[in-house]
Amino acid sequence: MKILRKFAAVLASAALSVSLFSFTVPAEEEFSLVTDDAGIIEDIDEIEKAVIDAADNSGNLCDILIYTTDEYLSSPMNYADDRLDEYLDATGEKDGVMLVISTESRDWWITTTGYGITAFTDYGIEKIGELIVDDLSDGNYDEAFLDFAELCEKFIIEADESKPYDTNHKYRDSGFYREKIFFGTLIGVVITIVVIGTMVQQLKSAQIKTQANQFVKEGSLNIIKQSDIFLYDTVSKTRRSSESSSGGSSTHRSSSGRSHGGGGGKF
Amino acid sequence: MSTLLNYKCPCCNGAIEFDSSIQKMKCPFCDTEFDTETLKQYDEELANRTPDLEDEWDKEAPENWDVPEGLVGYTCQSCGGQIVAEETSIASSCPFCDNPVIVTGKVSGMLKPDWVIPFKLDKNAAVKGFKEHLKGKKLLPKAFRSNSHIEEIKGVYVPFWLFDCSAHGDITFRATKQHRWSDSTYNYCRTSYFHLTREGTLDFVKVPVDGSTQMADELMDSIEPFDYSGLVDFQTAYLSGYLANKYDVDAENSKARAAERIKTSTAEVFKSTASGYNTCIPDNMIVNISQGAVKYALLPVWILTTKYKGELYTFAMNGQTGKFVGNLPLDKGATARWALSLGLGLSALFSAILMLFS
Repeated sequence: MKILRKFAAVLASAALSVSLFSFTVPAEEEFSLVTDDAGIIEDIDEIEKAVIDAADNSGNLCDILIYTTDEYLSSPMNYADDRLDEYLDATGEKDGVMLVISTESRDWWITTTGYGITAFTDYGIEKIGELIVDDLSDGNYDEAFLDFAELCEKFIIEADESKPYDTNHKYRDSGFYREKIFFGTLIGVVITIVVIGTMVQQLKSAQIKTQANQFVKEGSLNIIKQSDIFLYDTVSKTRRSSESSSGGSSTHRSSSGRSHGGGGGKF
Repeated sequence: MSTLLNYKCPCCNGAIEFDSSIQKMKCPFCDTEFDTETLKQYDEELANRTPDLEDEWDKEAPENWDVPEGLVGYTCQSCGGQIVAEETSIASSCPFCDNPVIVTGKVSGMLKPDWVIPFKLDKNAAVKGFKEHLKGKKLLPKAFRSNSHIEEIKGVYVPFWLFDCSAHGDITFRATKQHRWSDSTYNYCRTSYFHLTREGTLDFVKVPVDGSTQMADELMDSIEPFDYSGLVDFQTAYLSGYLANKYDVDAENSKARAAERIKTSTAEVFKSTASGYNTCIPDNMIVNISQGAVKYALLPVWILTTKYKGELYTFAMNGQTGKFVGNLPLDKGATARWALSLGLGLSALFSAILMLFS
């Protein structure tokens, strides 16, 4: 009887220890807004602060997340959707936008859900990718992620206060104005050259004549032999570029059944 | 197994071979394929080209002129220009370079002109023509308008050789036709290549070449055409009140210039008979001139020579039709101001348009 009581006490202590351990959540299972599995971020605190501030400044309508990995991604879309779903499942949030980077396959993908689908249209995702891809390619990851956070803030605010950036409401950065000024100046310069060239030509009226068309005797042309021989054909073809100008956000369902928007590319 | 046939590729001129696997002629250098019949026809065309012969011009030359009394010759010590005028018409400056001329006495070594077109427009018309010529030229220096001593404009009979001939041309062209179409994936373009031949004759009447080295060819070419219905048989009386330039380029040396213009025109006229092609470029040109005849004529030209900033500017007006030509100086300061203001204005305008409508 005494042995049985001692055995029961040991069993009870063991059971209590196990249950105590189960209440301690291991650090690696916390869902951070910035996950750097690839180890490419130099100052992770700065990036985390940036995404938190961006979400706060845009009214917390949508969580902003960054995820890096050194795994080879056969389907960047599925991988990104799953990472975002894990975050949403763990936190109970419904609205998010996540940028996923793979250093192995050199893919970038932006996945969205909830309000993220509204705020980030197909055009918007492509635009953000365009603006950060150079920094990703050059290995300036911190710079790229800071820009991503800033752009997400702007896009969410615009979607909330006005309408989402799309093909009929384009995002204008400083590069937009530089580009328009460059091409406007180019057109202006070309037209100026043509006009000034014409005015200079007005001063020149003496030219050597290389032909004598005015001295052809009328009706004297007599063609005695005329032949047109077909030699050969060549056929060339160029692929047509497909442009989608309808705008909006295309969506799909992830493995969890949740609806996602998204887009990506290589860097 | 390939059989060797002796043709040249029309595309790259390489030695072409019969390829029995495709039953066509194929060039091993550029891979272009041809039907045998096409190449045979092409080869026959090349073999039957007209030979390139020497141009045939009339050997008859104008007669020497026994210049009557009352006409005096002048020579310019600066440019060597030789002019003839009546004793009563005093020529003090050279119409070609504006330097003083000296009297050389009785005129000799001149050919009697066959024809002359008398002056139809007087000095007032010439002065008016010059003023019109300066109007509307925004880049002309203002100082030039006031300093051109227009009253010194002179009426000069300029010697011309007038060439008649028949040109026999045998010209080949490379031409293409293009056809474009699309499907949902690609845009297509088929380019078909052709070898064209045009052979025939074309007559030319009174092609002018000026017989004076003092008269710039571009100036004399630019006041063309003269209305040849105004040509009359030459008489000395027509020189009264005007100067006449003595020729120093004879007919023999002028033929080459006439032949060049005639050959170019022959090619252009023959090319105009090839229609329905996107491009048509002359490939090989043989033009033989025959039945050539040349006449010597004096044609009326009002001439003004003026100096501006050390450079000589010569203007000429057709004394029959009134066509006025002559290159004018450029005001660099005005050009820069125009370029800057236009450039800035247009750049700002188009930048704003692109920003608004993008």
